[in-house]
Amino acid sequence: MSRGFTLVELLVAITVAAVLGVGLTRLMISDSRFVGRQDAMMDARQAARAAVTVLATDLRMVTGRGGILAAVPESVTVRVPAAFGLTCQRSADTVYAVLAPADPGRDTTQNGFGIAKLESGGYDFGLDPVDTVMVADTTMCAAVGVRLPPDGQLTQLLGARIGATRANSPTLSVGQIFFLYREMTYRFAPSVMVPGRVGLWYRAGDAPAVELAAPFDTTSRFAFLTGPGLSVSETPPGNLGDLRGLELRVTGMATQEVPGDDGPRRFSLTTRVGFANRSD
Amino acid sequence: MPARTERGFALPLTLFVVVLITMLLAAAFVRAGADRRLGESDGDMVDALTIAQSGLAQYLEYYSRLNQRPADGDSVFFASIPPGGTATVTAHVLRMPTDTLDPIVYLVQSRGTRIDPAMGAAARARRVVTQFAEWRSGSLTPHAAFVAVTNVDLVDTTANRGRARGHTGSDGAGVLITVGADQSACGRPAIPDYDDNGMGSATRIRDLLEIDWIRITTEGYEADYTTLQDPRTWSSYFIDGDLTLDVDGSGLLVVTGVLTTTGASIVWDGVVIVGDSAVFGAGTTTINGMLYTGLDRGLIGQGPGPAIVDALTTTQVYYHGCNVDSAMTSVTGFAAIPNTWLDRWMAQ
Repeated sequence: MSRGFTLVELLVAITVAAVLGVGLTRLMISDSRFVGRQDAMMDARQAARAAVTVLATDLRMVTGRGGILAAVPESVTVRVPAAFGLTCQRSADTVYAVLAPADPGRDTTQNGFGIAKLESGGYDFGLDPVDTVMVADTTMCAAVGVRLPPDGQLTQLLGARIGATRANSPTLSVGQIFFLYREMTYRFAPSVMVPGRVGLWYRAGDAPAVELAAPFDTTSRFAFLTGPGLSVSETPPGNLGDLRGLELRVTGMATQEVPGDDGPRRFSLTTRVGFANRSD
Repeated sequence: MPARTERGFALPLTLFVVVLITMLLAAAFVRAGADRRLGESDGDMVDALTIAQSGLAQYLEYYSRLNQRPADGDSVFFASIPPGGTATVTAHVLRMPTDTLDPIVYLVQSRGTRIDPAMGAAARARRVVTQFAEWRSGSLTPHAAFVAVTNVDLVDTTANRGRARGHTGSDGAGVLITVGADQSACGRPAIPDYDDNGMGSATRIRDLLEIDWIRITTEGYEADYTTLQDPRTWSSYFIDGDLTLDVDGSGLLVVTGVLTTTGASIVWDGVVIVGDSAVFGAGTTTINGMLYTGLDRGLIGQGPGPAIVDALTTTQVYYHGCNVDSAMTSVTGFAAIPNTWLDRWMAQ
């Protein structure tokens, strides 16, 4: 015969269940917050890493003198080499050149590159854009001893602006090493992807700015490396030609704030990038 | 009532809780694992760049130390490079100039591969960097001890005074002089004796020399010094303008303007290349090696640029193969061309 539960049994059972429930709830909340914090920290880390990877890769190739066009703690404008080459023939306003293999991510068939020619003390930069046209006939280069390397491209660089006929442009002679570049501006500015936060924007030449990664803390910025010992300065030197590198101070933030935390999770990443194409 | 209905809910509840917590923790571990792998991947990419850069540096240093130039298409595999990986470095000739003083231009590519030996030979990351490099042969074909592209102007031709040894004294375009002590040691072939003038036009001499003087003067020449410092160290000197030489020296001396020797006695061991005139005003000027004068005017066609042997002076130019070799060694070697480094980080 089933006699059921007594009141005492029920009270004990409810009490035990309540204790267990509270404990379980606390455990689950704690676990949930732990998972949430890990997610938030991962968000922050990924934002910081993405920014540093892109910035370091481009900035490392900057030439230093002439390679920095503008610099403030929130923004830098640099000339980023897309491809190096060697000239092999020149006419009035056209240069034929061999381009060394470029990074697959940089399309060297596009137009509107800047051009810089190598001099003993650094680079001379052209003032006008250069268009490129791929060429198949390599005989003109072979005639002057210039060879096409594996994966290289023979290119026609169009535009009188790089010939001797334009007074303000560098003259490229045969056998001249040069590089094609894009003017890139990197800026920490208010984000559109994550409203209310800071994003990393880049702009190639006059193209519209594109938000590269977000969100970041407002303290994210550039610091400036000068002198042989790469001394760190919060402000750029008066002469940007004295810059030898940049320190990237990036603090990534989580997109969502974890309940119980006093703000979004942050992850700071500081990296120094020396200009590899500044040997002096 | 069946017994099983009296067991309560403790076991199912416990199992539910355990499964729930396990799922939450597993999800957290998966996320953390993904994050760790992303972090490691970033680290591997940085390591691969370091390895590629290290391989490139070792390659350049290797050929620099050998003082040899790599063959076109040369490939060297570096098996173990810290922090753990391999590098394959290849070099291709981009430009093979005809000018003997012009460098051979190479494109050197280093492919760094990050490997974790504990996880087999599979590549964890690859990174490719390229660098322009050059080989300066520093070789000069010895045609004569003294090559005056235009002419030699003898102010005083009396015996033992104001004379270029071996030169008859009559002027003419294109003078090659080699007479006397022909020290063709160091494996150098003997060069023929010339005691002549009017060997031909400046153009003929220019073709003989294979020195692209116009390029040297317009684009500069990367020498050890641009002023006359440590002149006894077998260095190379590029003086853009005139130079008054009043100390002894050795090495490769390139003067774009007028070279004037002064003092009681001046001795230069090595190679002297003068764009304009060489005025030998020292009591005795002795060059043990090779001497070229008048390259600038002779090549550009601005008129004669004579080598002037002043009155009451003696000028002696001896071909000296060992000294020529020593002088040209200062410009011989394989090295990176500064400021021509490219990161091809998306290339595999």
